Amino acid sequence: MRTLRQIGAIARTEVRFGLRRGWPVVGVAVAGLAVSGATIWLAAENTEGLALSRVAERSAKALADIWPAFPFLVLGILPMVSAPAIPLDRQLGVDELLKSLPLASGTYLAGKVLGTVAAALLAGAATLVLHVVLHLALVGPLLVEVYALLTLFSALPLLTWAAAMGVLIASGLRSRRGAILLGLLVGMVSLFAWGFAVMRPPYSSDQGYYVERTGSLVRDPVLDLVLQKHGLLPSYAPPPTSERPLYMIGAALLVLAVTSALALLRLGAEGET
Amino acid sequence: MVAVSNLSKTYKGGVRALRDVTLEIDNGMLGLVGPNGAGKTTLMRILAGLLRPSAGTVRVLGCDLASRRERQAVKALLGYLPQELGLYPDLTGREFLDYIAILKGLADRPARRRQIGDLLEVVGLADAADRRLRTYSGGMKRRLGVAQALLGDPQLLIVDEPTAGLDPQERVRLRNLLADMAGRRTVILSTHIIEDVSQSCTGLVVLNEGRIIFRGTPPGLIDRVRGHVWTMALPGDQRPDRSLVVVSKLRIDEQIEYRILSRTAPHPASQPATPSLEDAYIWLMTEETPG
Repeated sequence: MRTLRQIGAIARTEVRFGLRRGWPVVGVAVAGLAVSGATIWLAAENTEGLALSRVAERSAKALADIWPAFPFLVLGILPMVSAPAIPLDRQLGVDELLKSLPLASGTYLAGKVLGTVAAALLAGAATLVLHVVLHLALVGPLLVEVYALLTLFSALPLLTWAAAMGVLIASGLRSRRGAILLGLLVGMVSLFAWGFAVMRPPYSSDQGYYVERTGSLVRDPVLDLVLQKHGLLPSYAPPPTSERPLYMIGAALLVLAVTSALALLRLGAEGET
Repeated sequence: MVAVSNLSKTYKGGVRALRDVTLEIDNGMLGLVGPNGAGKTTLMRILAGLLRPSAGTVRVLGCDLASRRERQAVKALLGYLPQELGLYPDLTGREFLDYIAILKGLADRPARRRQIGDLLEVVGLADAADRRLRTYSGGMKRRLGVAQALLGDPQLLIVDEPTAGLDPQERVRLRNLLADMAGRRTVILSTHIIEDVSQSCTGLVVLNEGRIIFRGTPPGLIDRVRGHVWTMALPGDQRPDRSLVVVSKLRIDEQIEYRILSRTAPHPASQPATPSLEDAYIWLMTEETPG
């Protein structure tokens, strides 16, 4: 019970830091608002005279075109802004005090990861609410199922993974600057891995029009599956694939588990000098 | 309360910070003094469970610090103020204390809040409790450090250089606060400031090059130098013999008054003086330092 309370206290304090220092919150908000703005702008084109159901479908297609930018922004920014969580404790000198408390290194790490992830998710939720309000006001209705599934199966895992990875990967460093650089590097590597996983297979000439129209070779498989279910995926677009994304999810979880273990070992060894 | 036996610590690179230290500490306030690099902070960090010794045993409150489980148990009963106290500038004083209190295991929220309020009063920070720590002065930060160390009413309080860098008023205030706390528990105070020890400590340990060179009471150390402290006034253009240990000098008009440590009268005009703890400490260090 004491361990849970300690994790809660560390996580709560980390959320407070997130809100006061602003790093993870601003990082997520920048990514979310960029995607939100572009989606609303695209969906709002020529909606005059359209039935409300058509407006919602058009909006879902617009989201499908823009959404692939979100993972890239999140992976590029979030590990970098999350990484200083533990190194900053060392830089401020708080770690000496924390080590004198009855606090296990695993508890400390769990609290830091949970708090940073919670701050990122809070920022994501706030951005989503703002987007929905603006969408309803400026464009019209939206497909709730698309947003719900996208949040659950795309945004939530992405934000969680990127925020946790940032904290874990930099847990052994002593300076904020070093942590940011390492977070940036991890973000870049993750970005390429994600791009490889979701890039569409070679397309035929009639699909070329589709690629040119969306301006992107990458699509979010979750979103395309939902569009396909609603009959909104253009016939010329290749069907969504799930094989490579599944491999990628497996690899991402493996990387997260290994990084967690290494971070725990490192923090545990530090407390045993 | 604390029993240290044949304790040694050698850091990576071969620096020997502590050599065969044996020590027992009971209730009251113990001053730990010594020059830079004497091993004071190393000893404090070992007692706080932050550092593992290279050899020897340490028992605190009946627990063996070699065992990870017992070390955690000791940490729950310990108050520690590190030499360099790091704080979160984004938190307020009250939030910081609440955070540390939960990590220390103070589960009951109303009791925790009550204790935090009381401690903020005791250290004189009640009015600044809801200000961000970035706005605190050095003295306020040290006082907050003492407050966090006192959370949970610890039986053992370890404070490393608590008065360093404080103005005289803050120093006296903090010193008195620690002396008050020592009535009911063991307080180990590491300091460079001999006056802090003479004004507040009942016990004294002097460390030099990782070894204990004195263990007793402040009056006991003063007794060692009794009869070896002299004052003498010389004209401004004259200097005392270079081999003498000059503790202080004070210019009065055309003359300089010297305070000197010497086994025999250093000058026909010299007068015996009442020794202070600072005299005794310097005498001890001089005797211990070859050449």
